[in-house]
Amino acid sequence: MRGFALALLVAAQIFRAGTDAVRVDALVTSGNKPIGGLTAADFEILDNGVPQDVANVTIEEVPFSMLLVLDTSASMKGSPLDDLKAAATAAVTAIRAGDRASIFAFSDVLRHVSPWKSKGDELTRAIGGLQASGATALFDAAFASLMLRDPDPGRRSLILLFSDGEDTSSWLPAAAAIDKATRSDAVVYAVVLGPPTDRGRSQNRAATPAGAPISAANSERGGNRRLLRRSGITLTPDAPLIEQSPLLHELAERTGGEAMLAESSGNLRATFERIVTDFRSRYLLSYVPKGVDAPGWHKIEVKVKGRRANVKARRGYER
Amino acid sequence: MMHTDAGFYFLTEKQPAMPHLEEAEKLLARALSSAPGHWDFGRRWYRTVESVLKTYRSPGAQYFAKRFSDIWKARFAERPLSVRALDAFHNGVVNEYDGCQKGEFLTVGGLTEFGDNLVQRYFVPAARELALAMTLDPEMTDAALHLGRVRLLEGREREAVEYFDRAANAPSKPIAYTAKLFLGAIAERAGRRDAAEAAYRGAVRLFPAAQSGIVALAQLLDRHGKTAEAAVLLQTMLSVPERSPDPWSLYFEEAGADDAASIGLMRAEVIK
Repeated sequence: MRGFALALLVAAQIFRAGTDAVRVDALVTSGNKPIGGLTAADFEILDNGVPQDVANVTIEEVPFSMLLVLDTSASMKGSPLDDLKAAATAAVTAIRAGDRASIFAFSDVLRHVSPWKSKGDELTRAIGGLQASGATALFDAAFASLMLRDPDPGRRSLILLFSDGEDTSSWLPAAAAIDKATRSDAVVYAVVLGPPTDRGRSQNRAATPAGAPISAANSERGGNRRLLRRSGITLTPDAPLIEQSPLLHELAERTGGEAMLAESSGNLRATFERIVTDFRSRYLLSYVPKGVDAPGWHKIEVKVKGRRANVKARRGYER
Repeated sequence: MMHTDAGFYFLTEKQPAMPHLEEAEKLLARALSSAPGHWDFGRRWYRTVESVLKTYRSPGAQYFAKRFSDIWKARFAERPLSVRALDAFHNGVVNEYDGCQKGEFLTVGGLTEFGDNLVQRYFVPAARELALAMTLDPEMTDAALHLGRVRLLEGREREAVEYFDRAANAPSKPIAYTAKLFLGAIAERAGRRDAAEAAYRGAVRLFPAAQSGIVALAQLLDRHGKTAEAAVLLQTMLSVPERSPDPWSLYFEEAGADDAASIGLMRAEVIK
């Protein structure tokens, strides 16, 4: 059964979600702890409300590609950048043989500083060379990172997106990145560093050891309310002319990932390590859609049969 | 113009800046004597540098503010209409800039009460000043670009298109580039995919490695099934190690005090 499932997953990689096979990356937790040992028989998947036959394997068997998307804008200068480098280094060190990683840095300028590589010195050297300067084109970076897939087939895709502040200079609206995320099978974990004005205050708080989940309301401090140097213009007819939507929480929600708040840069390393560990604990489910031939948006619901469990998975796919 | 940039940088860092600005002025004066086509740029340079210097209290800054003001008066005062146009342009852009720095002004449902206040306080005066600048100097295509953007922020999309159309034909490549991006976005909003693609491609032709044009075009292509082409566009852009400044990133300088807007204007001028 497991061999068949793996073969199906490889097929899913070839045909990509939305054509023949659909794959869904799902984290199953109870009380914030991952639940392991589940099989295909434990899951129920509804595609546009129609039950599907599920095949699943655990993550350990399918290598993944992790794109680190790192905010290196001027506000990161000093110890935050040092801590970010340490966190990124820890993340690329935590991947296993067979996994791959790539480094994408952004300020107002997007830079793919390291191509896809297996664990090794090239990745850590690229991280070590990061410098902080410039404004923050978070939305442009989020969109571009979702386009930068590892060309090596047969992999799960993790995007670890870090930013320390609101977007100040993107051309694209947040909705463009959210739309792309909705059509992608990558899982986005977003990490937000507490605001500079709060950094001193946060030292007096109880430290959040490895990133607390955050809500839409506080995912980007101050929201995206100010235009600053963003264009802000939305690109879909039914949207208001100038957008207001928060990005990071929505990206994580739509892709089945998580948005986390690191209250100080000293917490970044533990947060990044936790993300890699969490990602390994996810299930990769795959099914060939039946009885749902209509093109367009397909809503996916993933449930665990017969027990209380929280399932995080992408919300659907475009067919 | 690197001297101008360096001068502004050292000003903000509280280091000796005047030698750079003095050197920039010498080069500009030489250029003006040999190339009258740079006349408009010269007017703006003196005026903007003067206004930036006035925001610093050091004796050196004050001395050079007066000196550049005197040169400006001597050299350009005989062109009062153009000068008034320049003043109006400057006032309009500063209002636009200030409005963009303020908090929440739009919600999913449209303008909030606060948003309406923001429009009345910043964008309406900005539009008035920019329109005046265009009346006084119909050749001022950068005023058309900014007026288009302000009309957009006011929700007056049709009028915005008129001004962007005018700016898209400007001889200045950065102005034409940014106007084409806005025209592409407006066409995309209206569901006119071909027009949007043509506008974005027009912008990319002007600045092939500029990030804003590439991401705009790539997202349009990707959303309409041309993901492979979109990916190639992005990869090609990212493979260019030292990309030239993106005109969109120079539309305003980074957030902050009023003088930052002036510096942004200067930078936009530099790459003309």
